[in-house]
Amino acid sequence: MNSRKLFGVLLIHFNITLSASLQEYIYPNSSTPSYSNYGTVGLIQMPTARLQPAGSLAFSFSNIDPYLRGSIIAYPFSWFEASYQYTDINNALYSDVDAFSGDQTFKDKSFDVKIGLMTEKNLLPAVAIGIRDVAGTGIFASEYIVASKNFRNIDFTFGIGWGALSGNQISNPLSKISQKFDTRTVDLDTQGGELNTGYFFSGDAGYFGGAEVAIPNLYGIRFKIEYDGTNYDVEGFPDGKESFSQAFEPVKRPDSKINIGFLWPVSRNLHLKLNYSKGNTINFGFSLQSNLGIKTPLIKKNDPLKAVENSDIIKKVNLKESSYVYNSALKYLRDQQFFVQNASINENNLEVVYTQSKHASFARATGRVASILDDISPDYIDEFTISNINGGLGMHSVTVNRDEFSHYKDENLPILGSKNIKTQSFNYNRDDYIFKPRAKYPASFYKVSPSLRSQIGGPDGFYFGDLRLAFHSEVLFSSNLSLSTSASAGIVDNFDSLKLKSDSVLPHVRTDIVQYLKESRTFAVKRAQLNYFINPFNDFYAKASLGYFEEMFGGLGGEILYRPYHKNFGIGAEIWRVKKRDFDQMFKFRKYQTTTGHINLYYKHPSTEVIMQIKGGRFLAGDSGLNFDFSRRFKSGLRMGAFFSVTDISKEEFGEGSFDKGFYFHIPIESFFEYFSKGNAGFGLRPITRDGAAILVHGFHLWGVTEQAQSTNLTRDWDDIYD
Amino acid sequence: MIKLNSFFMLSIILLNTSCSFISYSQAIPLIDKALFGVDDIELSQEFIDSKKYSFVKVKLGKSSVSILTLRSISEGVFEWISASGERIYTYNGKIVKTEGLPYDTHLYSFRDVDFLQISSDASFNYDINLTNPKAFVSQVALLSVIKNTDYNFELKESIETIGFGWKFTNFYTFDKRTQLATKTIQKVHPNLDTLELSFIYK
Repeated sequence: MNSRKLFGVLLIHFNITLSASLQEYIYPNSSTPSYSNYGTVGLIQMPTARLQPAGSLAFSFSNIDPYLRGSIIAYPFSWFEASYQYTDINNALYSDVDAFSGDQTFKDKSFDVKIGLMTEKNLLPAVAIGIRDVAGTGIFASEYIVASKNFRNIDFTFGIGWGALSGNQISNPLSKISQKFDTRTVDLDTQGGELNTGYFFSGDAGYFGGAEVAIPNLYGIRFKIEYDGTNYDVEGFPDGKESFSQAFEPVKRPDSKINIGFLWPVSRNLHLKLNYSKGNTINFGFSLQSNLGIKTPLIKKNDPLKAVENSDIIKKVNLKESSYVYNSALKYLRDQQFFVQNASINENNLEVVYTQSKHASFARATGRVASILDDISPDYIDEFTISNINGGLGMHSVTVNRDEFSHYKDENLPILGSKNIKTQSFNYNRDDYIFKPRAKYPASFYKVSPSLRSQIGGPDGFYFGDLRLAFHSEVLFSSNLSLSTSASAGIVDNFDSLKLKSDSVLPHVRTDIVQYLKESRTFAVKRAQLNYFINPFNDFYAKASLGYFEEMFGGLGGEILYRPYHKNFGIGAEIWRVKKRDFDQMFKFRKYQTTTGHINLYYKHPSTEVIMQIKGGRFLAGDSGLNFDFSRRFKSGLRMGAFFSVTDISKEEFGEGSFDKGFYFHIPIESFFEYFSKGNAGFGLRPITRDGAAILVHGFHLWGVTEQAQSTNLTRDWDDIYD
Repeated sequence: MIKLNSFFMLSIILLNTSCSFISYSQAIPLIDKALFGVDDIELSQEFIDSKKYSFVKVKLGKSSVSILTLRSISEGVFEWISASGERIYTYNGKIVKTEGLPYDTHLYSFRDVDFLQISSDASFNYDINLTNPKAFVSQVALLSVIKNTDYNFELKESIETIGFGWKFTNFYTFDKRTQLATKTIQKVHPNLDTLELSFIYK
């Protein structure tokens, strides 16, 4: 290629890049897909083939008569959207028994999924397949295949739907493959919550389509128009009492199939919408979303490592005696919240054993310790061995070449700086070291925080909450013996109307939740757990605990875990003898006691960071079976997970919901602040609280305590080493 | 806006969470900053005397107030630097370049305009390079004198961007005795709040 051609190609490339960027000023915040009234990415009522990036979490709210819907939407992968929603159905009562649910309207829980089959190409559209109301009551059940193609500022969508999306009927194309797709039969003989795939993509099909138009130079406001494919004769309780005995009025039928609306992206994360649907209904809503999976999702960090002042003088002084090096390491590392437990100098190697609770990234912690040691160590030290312990258990040991670390630090090249760092398993023995600073025991730590206990979607009312002031403390009697306590006092709650009693035929290990909530309103001790950790061999960890483990059970027991450092699996076992706590969550027990325990298997896929956990054993109510838990961890520390259990009780014995299942998120608190912090905000939801497959919740589960005892959990964050 | 979004997101998470572990000391500054903004820095005589070098107070919307110290002057371009390394370059009080902000800007052809010589309405063209996202665009500026006294000279700059609908107005106040800008209010990037600059020369 001659230089003129090369220049031409570069100019075209430059122009295309600039032109693409200019679009973002003409249509600000246009890169984020928007949400439909169903809580998933879509137009107004119709879905699109668009998805958010992996690691995104969203909350969507919409109000379209007679439905008021709140959804939580998660994207564990860039090709997978999962949403869970509560729909307040305002043309039906929760139950027809006034004493049970009063005049509360019907609440429907549903779960939707969408899978991206193909991303958009130059000439080909993005294609996705989705199912609404999977494993729910099925009143919004529908399936669809949809394609979306962007042309300039317009995103076109066309799709085919089944079930509640069959409004514009065509013959089912899948009937040509098999006759079983001819008719749609929904199984009503169910406790709800079951996955019934038999009717998927069957019965009448229908088409739908629409477009989302970004309006130029108008704050990114988008105009939406769609040809509605909703079958309003099928969805919800369309005919009032004729459809469902608790319904009291029919749903307003559409006067038009054209829906229009405007969406205002106030920012990339916050969208407001106003639509005119069915030719007779104004509806509104909002959505809030963010990619919380990326390294600094919301706020850029401003928490740099502070260099040691007068470093050259300290290095010269430390040349005189090794004890000076140890004491400076103790002081200067403590100043940056790293706590030296032991140290030794062997020829040119300085080994430091430390503990820390500030950084979720163990690579960043290692890098900062190495930087401080580099600032204080005399020149003859050319290697650092930095070993980490947690709860007195050896986690990992990292060997750093000082010159190489320092050279690439100056140039901020973490990938090169970490290239020759060696990491290995670490078996901690305090007596192996020359410097053994004496810690003052007992040492105590505490913090006070607000806490909120919630009970959502019951017949007594949609939301019950209890705002509390919680006190968390940890008392260390030695490096591996600790007492962890969590107590709280109520500030305000609305539990007076909570009255639902357990109807479970199993021992009431969880379904007495209402009594526990109500009788612990003033003050409660959630946990008072004494823990003893040991690390007898490399990669092998054990814990013994006794006390009040959780709100409902206390007792004693233990856990062991084998977690080979350079592998991606772990195997463990736990057994507990526990007794049910009194409802006031103070210090008395009730009569029920049991032995529960599991064999635990863990596997982590190294590149996707998908963790699979299987627990097999005996649950709290005496039922036996397996609990499966799948989660994915993202770069920021965000974890999204879902679980389900299969035990030897029937779905009738289990009750409503048929089997135990749920999902959870752990969101790193540091995402919201300018400084680093190790804490998480946890949010978990079980659609319904039942007694089957209940697992004892005890603090300091060994898989969590030993997270930094697996090489990939350190090496995945090597790019943080100079943070 | 980023902080406001994160505040909303945190609120949703807090309201939904069953076991949150956020201490008051962490949450209150964020809520305070999102709702009420940061405290202003008062340019008292005592404060001014405490500074050794010329400086500029930069107020970015409600979200931040910083002091940037004069680092260098080169061909009429003043380079101001903050304690955390952000840089602002001004020419006759007009920001012509920023470095280290979430949204940076670089203005070209600014030397064609001498604000202090404007006596009646005049129009000029600028070329501007924006980052996050990157874009290179042209602007048309209409300059007009608002006030011209023995001591002060005030100027209004109405800017229209060619290529997308970004229109805004900047204001500049000069001390006629020193021929230096004393206060300016200006936009430098469509995604960044208005910047209010107060210059103190030593």
